Amino acid sequence: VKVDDGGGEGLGRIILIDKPDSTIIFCDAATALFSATTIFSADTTETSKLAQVLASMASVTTDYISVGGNRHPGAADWDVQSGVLAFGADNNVALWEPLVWSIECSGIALAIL
Amino acid sequence: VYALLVGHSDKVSVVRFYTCPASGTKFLVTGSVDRTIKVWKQQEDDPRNYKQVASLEGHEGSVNAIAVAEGTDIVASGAADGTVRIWRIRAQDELKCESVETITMKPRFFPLTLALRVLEGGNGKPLVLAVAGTATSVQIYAAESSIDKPNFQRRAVLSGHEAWVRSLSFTQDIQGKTKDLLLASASQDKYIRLWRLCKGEAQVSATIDEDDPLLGGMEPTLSNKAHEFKAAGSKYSITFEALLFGNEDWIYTTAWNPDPAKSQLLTASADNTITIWEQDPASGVWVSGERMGEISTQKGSTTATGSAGGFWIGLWSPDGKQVVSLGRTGSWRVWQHDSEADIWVQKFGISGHVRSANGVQWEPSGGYLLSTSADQTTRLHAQWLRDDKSSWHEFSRPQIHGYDLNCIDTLGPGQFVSGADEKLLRVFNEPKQIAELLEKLTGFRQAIEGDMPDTAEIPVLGLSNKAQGDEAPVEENEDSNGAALSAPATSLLTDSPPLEDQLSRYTLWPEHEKLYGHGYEISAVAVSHDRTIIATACKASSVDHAVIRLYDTSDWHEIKPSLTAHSLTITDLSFSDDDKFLLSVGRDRQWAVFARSEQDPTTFSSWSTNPKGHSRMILGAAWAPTTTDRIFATAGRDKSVKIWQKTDDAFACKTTIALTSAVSAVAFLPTPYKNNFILAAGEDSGAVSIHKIATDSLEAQHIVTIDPLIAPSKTITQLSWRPVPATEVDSRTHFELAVASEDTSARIYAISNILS
Repeated sequence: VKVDDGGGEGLGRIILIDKPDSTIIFCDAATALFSATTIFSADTTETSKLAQVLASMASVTTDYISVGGNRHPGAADWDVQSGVLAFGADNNVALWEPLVWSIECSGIALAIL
Repeated sequence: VYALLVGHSDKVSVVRFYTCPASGTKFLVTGSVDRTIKVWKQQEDDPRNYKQVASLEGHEGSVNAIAVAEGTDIVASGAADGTVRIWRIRAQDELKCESVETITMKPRFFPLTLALRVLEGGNGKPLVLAVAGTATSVQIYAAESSIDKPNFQRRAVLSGHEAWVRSLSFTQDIQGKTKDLLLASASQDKYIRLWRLCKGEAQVSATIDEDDPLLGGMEPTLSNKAHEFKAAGSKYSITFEALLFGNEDWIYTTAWNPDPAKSQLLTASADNTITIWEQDPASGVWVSGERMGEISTQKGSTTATGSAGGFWIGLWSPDGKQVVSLGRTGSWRVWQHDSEADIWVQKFGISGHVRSANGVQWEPSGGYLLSTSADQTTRLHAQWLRDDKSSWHEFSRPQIHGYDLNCIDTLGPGQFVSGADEKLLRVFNEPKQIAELLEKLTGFRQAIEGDMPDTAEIPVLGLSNKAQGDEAPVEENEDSNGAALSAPATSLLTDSPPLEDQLSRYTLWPEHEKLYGHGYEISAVAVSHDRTIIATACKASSVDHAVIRLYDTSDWHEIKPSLTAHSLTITDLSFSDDDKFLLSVGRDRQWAVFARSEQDPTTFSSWSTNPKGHSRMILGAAWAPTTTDRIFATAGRDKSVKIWQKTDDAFACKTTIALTSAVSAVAFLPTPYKNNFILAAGEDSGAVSIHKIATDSLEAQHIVTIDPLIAPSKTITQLSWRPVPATEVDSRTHFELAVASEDTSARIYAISNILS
């Protein structure tokens, strides 16, 4: 278990080793976002302590983004392989999965029929 | 929309997916008005997401076009500097992006569209690049090899179009035996031209019948001159193949059906249609097989009266069974092919603001969310619940206005007030159909009274929403029958959220009242919690105009005198939980608190002011949810949030929260949570952070900052917590926060485990 002080920037990073020879979870203390990687081994008692800390940390997820597309003919592309439609939305790039929606919708249509 | 990628500093004008042929790594390549091209890599652990890995700089103008071609690591980009740049993006071992060539357009024009394709049959994968833009010709460049330095040379200039060419796309012709390429070019001259690129000598195509009445008068531009060139030791030729006509306005995009078995071309036009063109199997003539959108538009109709205002983009789904189109309002329309009935059926799409989102407010019980924007619309968002699923959608577009909208507040479940870049505020009433739709799909029940209005319509050339049938004699004492008779022909009661066509035509709320008094554009509005008083302010540079005007909601009259304290624009207004105090903050760095009179509850008088509340202008104000103590927060450009507590005869600053950039918005969770006030603060940078403030000591502690990767990228204009019943609040594990930003987005975040 290591705790990085963030190089004096105030907000550090916690590294949690889930179980011996298992996943490492990185937690950015500034954002409380988790990301998991690679295999490592460590002491289990420390692990459970940190697990408790992490489980109780605040986290943020996006429920809804409403944004309009830029009126520029080139500002969108629909990927043939992944089915993701990317479009320019002001200075951001929006990602949308139109096919996931249509599957959901046809499911509903069937249920009603 | 499940993600917004942040990186560009100005509008994104072109987006293309790209797969590196050597490694199979997937990228997104985007160009922007900020003159850069950004390369985003698909994330291995989360394939739905992309992360910026490179920025290609060099263009000296807005990047307007990017072309990629299957099987090559060459990417072409065109910009408003009159050049096309050729890049190589290779992702073997490590990512390498290099500029390999710059082609200056001669005669000078700005490339608006590019199409790139590997030529069959040559050694070293020769490439063909078609370039067009602010000129009438299409220029064809060829490169000997895509493996070494490509060295693009101009080989042909295709003339024929009579206006700027907006779109180019290649496909392989499946009809012929030879592996010819077809190039579609679409222009502002309302025509699409198809060109055939074949290997070897030009085949003599059928001569154009000069007596054909359809082609009468257009003959001089129809030349089947063969343009021949050599690349990589092979001969190629380009000839004019077909003219596709039928559109009544500019054509913006062309796209070939990705299903290789189908030779279909999709075009999107400013005439509000998207068209699928097909070759008639018998005659070989290209005809428009299907047209979707508004085939016949009302004369004089505008987007305010529901006209689409042109389709800017048309795209095929990967399987060719769906098409989508982007309209003027920024919304995506979706059509799905019903193979049994062989018809294209419109499905609901997605929508959102196209200019700065300036306000978000929840209905008092959290039943729906209103957002208002500089794109001159107010939109209603709600959660569609079905089975075990739920998702957010736009359910109504209550206001389509002629002025940029600045602020909004709710007056109850069926009424709101908004202020725009005009001197008055407007009050709107919810129509019965919308209440019924919300109840059916979102489960939000409100007392549907008999006198709820029908949806509104905007008269052609009109400015404000009028209730339908307002001009007709009013049928009294016929509540239910009368309403049923005058209901619009198209019913909204479907089993899914409204389509864009319905949103823009049948979901307007009728205007109920106008509130006059201010001398300049409206800057802030707040409604008291008992919904009896509206406090408003306007842009101002003098004490005379920087006043707070109060309106009585029982008869909408202005309560005189107006409240004075500020000398510059008031940026935010807030009523305390019990409405006994009104707080105002402004650009003059001052905050002012007004107290409500016990005897006459419609009057307020100055109670306390602080002319130096912050060292820079104050942009946000909010009261903490308590009436035993009096506490409020102010947000300043001086990068701080200050917490003020009432003393005997003034308010003293108890806590200062230092943040990283100018603070533009603050909001308290409407109920205390486990002996803490939960405060959200939004900044100029787009950062949103959550803090807890102990109800006794007022000590502040940072809880979480939203990861910049999922946070807005421009100034936060307003924050609003979804109301939670006070009795449930302590048992909740998560809370919802609505965020409006100048980056045009309105978002809802779920914040879990706020306190452990």
